[in-house]
Amino acid sequence: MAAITLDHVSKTYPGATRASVDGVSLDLPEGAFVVVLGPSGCGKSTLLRMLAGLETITGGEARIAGRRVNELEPKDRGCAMVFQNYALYPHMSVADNIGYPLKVAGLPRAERAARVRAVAESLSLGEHLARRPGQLSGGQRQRVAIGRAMVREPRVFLFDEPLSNLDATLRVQMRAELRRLHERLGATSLLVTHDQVEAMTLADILVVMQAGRVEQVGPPRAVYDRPETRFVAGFLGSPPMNLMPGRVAGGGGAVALEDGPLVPLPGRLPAGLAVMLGIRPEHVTEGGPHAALVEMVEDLGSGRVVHARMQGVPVTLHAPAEATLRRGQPLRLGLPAARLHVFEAESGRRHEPAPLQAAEAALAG
Amino acid sequence: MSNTRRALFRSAWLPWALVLPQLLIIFVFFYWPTGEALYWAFTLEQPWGGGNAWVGWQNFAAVFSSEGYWHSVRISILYAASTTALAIGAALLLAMFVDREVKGSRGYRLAMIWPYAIAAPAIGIIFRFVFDPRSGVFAFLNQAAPGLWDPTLNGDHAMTMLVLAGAWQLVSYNFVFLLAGLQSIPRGLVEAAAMDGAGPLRRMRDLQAPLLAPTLFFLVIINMTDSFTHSFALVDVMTGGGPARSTDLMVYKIYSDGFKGLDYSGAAAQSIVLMLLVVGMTFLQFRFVERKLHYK
Repeated sequence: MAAITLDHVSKTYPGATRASVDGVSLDLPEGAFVVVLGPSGCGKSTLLRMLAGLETITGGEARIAGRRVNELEPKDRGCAMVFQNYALYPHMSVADNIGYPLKVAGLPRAERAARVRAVAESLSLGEHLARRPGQLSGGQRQRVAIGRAMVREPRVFLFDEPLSNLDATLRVQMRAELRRLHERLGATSLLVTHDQVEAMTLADILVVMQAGRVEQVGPPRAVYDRPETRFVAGFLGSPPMNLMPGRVAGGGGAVALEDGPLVPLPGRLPAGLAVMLGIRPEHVTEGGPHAALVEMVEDLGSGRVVHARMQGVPVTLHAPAEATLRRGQPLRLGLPAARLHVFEAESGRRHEPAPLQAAEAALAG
Repeated sequence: MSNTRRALFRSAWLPWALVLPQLLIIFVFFYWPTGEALYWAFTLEQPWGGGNAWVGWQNFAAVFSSEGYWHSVRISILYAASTTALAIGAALLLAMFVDREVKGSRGYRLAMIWPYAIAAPAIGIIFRFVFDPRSGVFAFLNQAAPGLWDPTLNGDHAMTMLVLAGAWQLVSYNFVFLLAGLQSIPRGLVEAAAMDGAGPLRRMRDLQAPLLAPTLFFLVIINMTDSFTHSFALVDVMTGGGPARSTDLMVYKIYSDGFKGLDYSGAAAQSIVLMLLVVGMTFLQFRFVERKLHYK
């Protein structure tokens, strides 16, 4: 059974002309780590808060473990949430913070203390139990917030950008810790973020949102390799995918780039169709049929990012760290047909070129 | 290092000249009268003027050995404690309702502080009419059972009436501070508590009340001091200290002993005692309560 089911869930704030969350439908399996990724203002946090019960659902239905939760109080939904700014109670000790949900639930003091201790040990907070949140570092506060969520042993964990307040090193550590924690607890986790690295590394299932709608759902690898829309293609990946406007030409087997060369496709598309041709920087090859000029080189340490111009079309590509490219230098680029993504210019939807007949392919080859 | 933040004056007299007006005002309106009262408290002043005699601690001895004075102290403390509790309790309830419903409506807050701007004698007059046993709002009680409500005859009724009037005035002031305090509590904390399973009342007790503690502490001091020293106008207009001295609060007793009984020296001694009482109370509160309120 699905742990979380969203059925055309919408949120329209009073007085707003546009829905913040617009008919989102998702089926999330038990025990999955689901990451909702999107730019700020895309409605991902609102979606999470509706599931938590902190915002009312204005349309559709949300179910947790098969039970409709639209009208339930937050505490009755079986969710625990970790907030972006941790939301620790400043006047309580770490132990009291972690133990608060149990105290509210009316558990006897001894059992409470034992469970708080167990949770604190597992998060290596054991020696900080008597401290106040104000005396802890950012990473420790984050762990207290997670501990407070864990102690109730919820079916569903909700994370609202939990890592965005940490510095870069700590973020990488906590990311790994979150993943380990998820594996150990086996609960369903739903994490909201605008950081694509976080999304790619943590998710079993990646949900990409934009303007209140779900753009694509799937395993992160699949979403990365086969983006369904132009938005997902451009949003996921750093540096982002090259997206070049053009028109299908050459009898349907190639795209004539605007102000650029003719690029052959792996299959056939209706001739004359206006498209966006996409290719990831790591798939652009050095050495190929297209002449280009280097405009700028960024050194990332592990490699270089080369910004080149192929006639009028800007192209980004990865180059090895040893590459000796300089500004103004000519080079030849290859855009392998198998690595191309084609999106319809008007709708932004992915367009799969119809495979060539074997004979035709042989002829073309 | 510490010198770098201090403004330096090249001339010696300019800084003094700048603070002089303020010092002058404090001296004329506080230290001078207080000094005079202190002096009178140790002398015996003739009722119609014309010289006084040094009597040492005799005025204080007379005050402290008077049963009427101790009665006045007791009911003053009762009045201050009840007024403060009622005013803060009611204001807290109102502020919590407002915090949940209408966030950040400034006009409403402004309207709520107006009662504080009403002069105490005016409040006294209004409440005298409201609580009048024969023609007031509660006169119907006497219709049902004669004598059920009569602040002109029953001391407890009179005290209740004073407390209600005194608290009414302070509620608005407290409300503004408490609402500001509540709104400064991050929304995320309240939401976290909701996720942790705490209902609205539980959240008030476990979260909002403790986080409001510094504000509450400030209000307790202000309300207590206010109740001890500013209750004069209410008593004067509403009960005149009666019936049978049941509302003869310390600050009113100073006035009635001094200007009606013409015992200037006794009144001066009483005012020194009242001042020391308020100072001591404030000191104790800071010493023992305030230090427990900080958690950062």
